[in-house]
Amino acid sequence: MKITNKVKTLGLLISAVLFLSACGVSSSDSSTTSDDSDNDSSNTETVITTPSTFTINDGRTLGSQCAQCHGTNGISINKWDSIAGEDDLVDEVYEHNDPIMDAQMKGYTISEIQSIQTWLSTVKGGDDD
Amino acid sequence: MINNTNRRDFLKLMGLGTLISLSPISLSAATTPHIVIVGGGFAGATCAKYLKMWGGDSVDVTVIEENSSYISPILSNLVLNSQKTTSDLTFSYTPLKDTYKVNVINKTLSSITSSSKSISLSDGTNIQYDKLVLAPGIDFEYTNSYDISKITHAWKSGDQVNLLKDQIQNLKNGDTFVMSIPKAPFRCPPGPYERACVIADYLKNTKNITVEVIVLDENSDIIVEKDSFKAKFDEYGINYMPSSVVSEVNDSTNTIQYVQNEVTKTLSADVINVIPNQKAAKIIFDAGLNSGNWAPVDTISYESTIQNDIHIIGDSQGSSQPKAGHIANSEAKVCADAILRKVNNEVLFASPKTNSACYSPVSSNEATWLTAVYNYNSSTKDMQLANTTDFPASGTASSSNYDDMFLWSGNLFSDTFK
Repeated sequence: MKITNKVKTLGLLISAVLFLSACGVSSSDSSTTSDDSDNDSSNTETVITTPSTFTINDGRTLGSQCAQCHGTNGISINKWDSIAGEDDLVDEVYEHNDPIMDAQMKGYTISEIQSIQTWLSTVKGGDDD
Repeated sequence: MINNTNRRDFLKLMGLGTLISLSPISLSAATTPHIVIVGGGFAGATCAKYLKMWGGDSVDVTVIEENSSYISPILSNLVLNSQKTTSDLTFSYTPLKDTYKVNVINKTLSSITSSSKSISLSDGTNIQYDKLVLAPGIDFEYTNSYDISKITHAWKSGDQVNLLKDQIQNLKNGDTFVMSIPKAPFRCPPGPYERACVIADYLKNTKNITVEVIVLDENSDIIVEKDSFKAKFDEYGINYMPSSVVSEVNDSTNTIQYVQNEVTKTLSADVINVIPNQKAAKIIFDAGLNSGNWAPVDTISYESTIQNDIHIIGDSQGSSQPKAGHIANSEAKVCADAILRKVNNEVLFASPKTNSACYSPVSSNEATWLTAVYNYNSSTKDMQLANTTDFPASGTASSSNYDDMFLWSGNLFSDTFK
């Protein structure tokens, strides 16, 4: 459908007011828990707000594949590394001494990792804020 | 890009909400794309969450799931040796509803009418979709009819796992336990080997009893992590029988008949666990979306190659990727991103990636792992290993892997259901 730019601009302004976090994510704690509780998230309070519109982000598309192990938007709920806010991902993944991470890295090109880093560096809530 | 939902919110803020709601045509229903997801497991729940987390108000998302909560098969072998309970592995749909504003309907799908882009539920409700995502998991191919409360599969979690747990824990010294492993592909490739190890370890080292453990594998060899599982099978004295095809199961005599090297044999046992051969869920076949046992898709978006606007993710889809919860979560994100690009008239991401990782317990304090990354191949429309050499696996089982297993599953569960 067609919509005037005026309405669009107003809508975005309102969105910005409603959704205080630009990336839509914040977390009160993401680094210290270490228990093995499987379905208990009481030790972390991640606040996720949904956006008003969809914006393409190739780095996010790729980086969402890190979340299975590192948490949604790179914010881990346990003592495995949070990677949200990461701005030296390329160095970090290749220096890694963890065997399963080393195995994962065999599947990614440097440009893909850079693309993921570009996105992660904009995400708040990790260890590297 | 903006849509009517945003305009509606804007008008509401301007105090005009009432005017809109009196309008005979709901602007939202008429124009906001409606994505309907059938199945709320690792694939379906992840897809719903990410559609709303990324697409927000630009899409309406409905999940049709017959159960009011989800019990994870991942870690469920640890219920058998009392390291976990099914309650530990149960996840609510409340976060999907409350945090992500997903409409969750706990009803059963009865049919799909692709010509009118609608589905109907068992209570007669019809629901229109713009995009339909099917994430219905697996169905079994039983050799014959028998009572699964006596001879379990325990390959969908919940009551079945607790039944098998009770049977295992009641075994006595001198008893026999037989389990069978289906022909690949099946859900969770390491799972049956892991189960054999966990049970044998429990009987030997926790209950301190001698029970003969026999594993009938329809495959000609252990299909994943062969060295690690073989070492454990030897340690526990598991009697492993490759190329053994189950042909009949009898719940009154508690016997299992199988064919190995063209010779038919019958085993009698105190407890039998048959993990049957598997195929896509019934709704895939009913809707004509299968080719053979699985649903063919183009993994750039997981759209069916048979029917437009229907996407299939998780264990029912027929790509060459393994079938398991972790990679179902992975596929769901690729699918969610592709659907959002499609409904917003954007070009699809050309080189999606997925990954698989699995930690397998092999005792009450040790685990192994394996992992792989997959690239999109635009010629085959399928995923392929992202590296020509084999991805390394853990090799020897260890207690540090066991601890890591809960960190892996903790984030995976959270990424899917929270």
